Amino acid sequence: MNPLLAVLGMLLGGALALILLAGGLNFRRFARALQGARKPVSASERGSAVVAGATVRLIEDTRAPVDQAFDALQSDLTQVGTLLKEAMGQLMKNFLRMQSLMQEQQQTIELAISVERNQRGDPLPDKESFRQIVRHQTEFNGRIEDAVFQAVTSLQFQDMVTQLVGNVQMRLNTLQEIQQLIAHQAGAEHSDPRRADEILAQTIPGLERKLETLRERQERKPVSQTDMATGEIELF
Amino acid sequence: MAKSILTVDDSASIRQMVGFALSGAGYEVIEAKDGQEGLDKASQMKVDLVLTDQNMPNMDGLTLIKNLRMLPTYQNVPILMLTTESSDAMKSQGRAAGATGWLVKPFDPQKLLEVVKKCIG
Repeated sequence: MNPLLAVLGMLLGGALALILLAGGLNFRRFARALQGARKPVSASERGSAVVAGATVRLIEDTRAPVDQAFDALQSDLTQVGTLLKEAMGQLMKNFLRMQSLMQEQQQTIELAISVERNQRGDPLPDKESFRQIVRHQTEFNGRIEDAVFQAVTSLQFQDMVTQLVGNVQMRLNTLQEIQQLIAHQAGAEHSDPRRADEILAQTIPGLERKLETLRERQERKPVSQTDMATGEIELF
Repeated sequence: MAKSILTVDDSASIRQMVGFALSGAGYEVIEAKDGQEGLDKASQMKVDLVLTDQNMPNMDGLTLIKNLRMLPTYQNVPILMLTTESSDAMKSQGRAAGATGWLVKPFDPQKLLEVVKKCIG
């Protein structure tokens, strides 16, 4: 092997391993760098590609599920944003409604006081005015209760978002574990290129398990709601 | 004597909201933060209805239902799932485990109260 290429290979390989080990979620960057690195300078140098073919195959095999996981994570984060936006909008609307109802209630109380003042000296109270006040008061109480119930429904966004974030975190952890396995593979191949296939055979079962975990977590979403409308009820 | 309801959820705010919705109607609401605590509390006392979440640490809702249904005192007690899960597959598992009904979050306090009244009066 050309000694210059060997040194270059070590440098690039080390850099790639470092990207994996140090970078949080740089899988896509790593894959691109790897593709660039494996391009041979000429036909005679094909055998001295920086990273062994086994690792490249590993990267290619894991790219699709990892890309899917990134897309699903992005979709979950969008869902979180939508839920938060809608819940906050509804909460604000409900609290403003409650405030407006409280003001109306205050006006009713003021009306009751004025009626009472006007009737001082009148031996017969104006029953219709009082009935009207009681009706208004009952109606206000019902409307305030509705607004509070709607606010309670909106407040449940916290539980939904917590579950979504928890699921995203679990998948990120799995992605990181996949990254670490590939980094370990790349590092081991560099240390001992002749054992590349043997090392790969040891890495693959672990990687397959991680990809399966990732797939299961993607398929089973804990929160399906994309808005804050009340959920369905089904009695068996 | 007030009828008792055990609400099992790892979210404190959801337990509080269930309490808010049902206490006002005269029910006694007992809280548990996961399936295991729910099973422990249900074993120590007889509650009239159980309302449980699905995804919780230590023991999930489906496992709690299966365990409760094995206890003679809980064979006919209504057990409702209150969860963000809404897939048909999960509902089928819930039904098979012995759930009485499935309520998807977010819940409307008035509708929750109606369902509880329907189950235990």
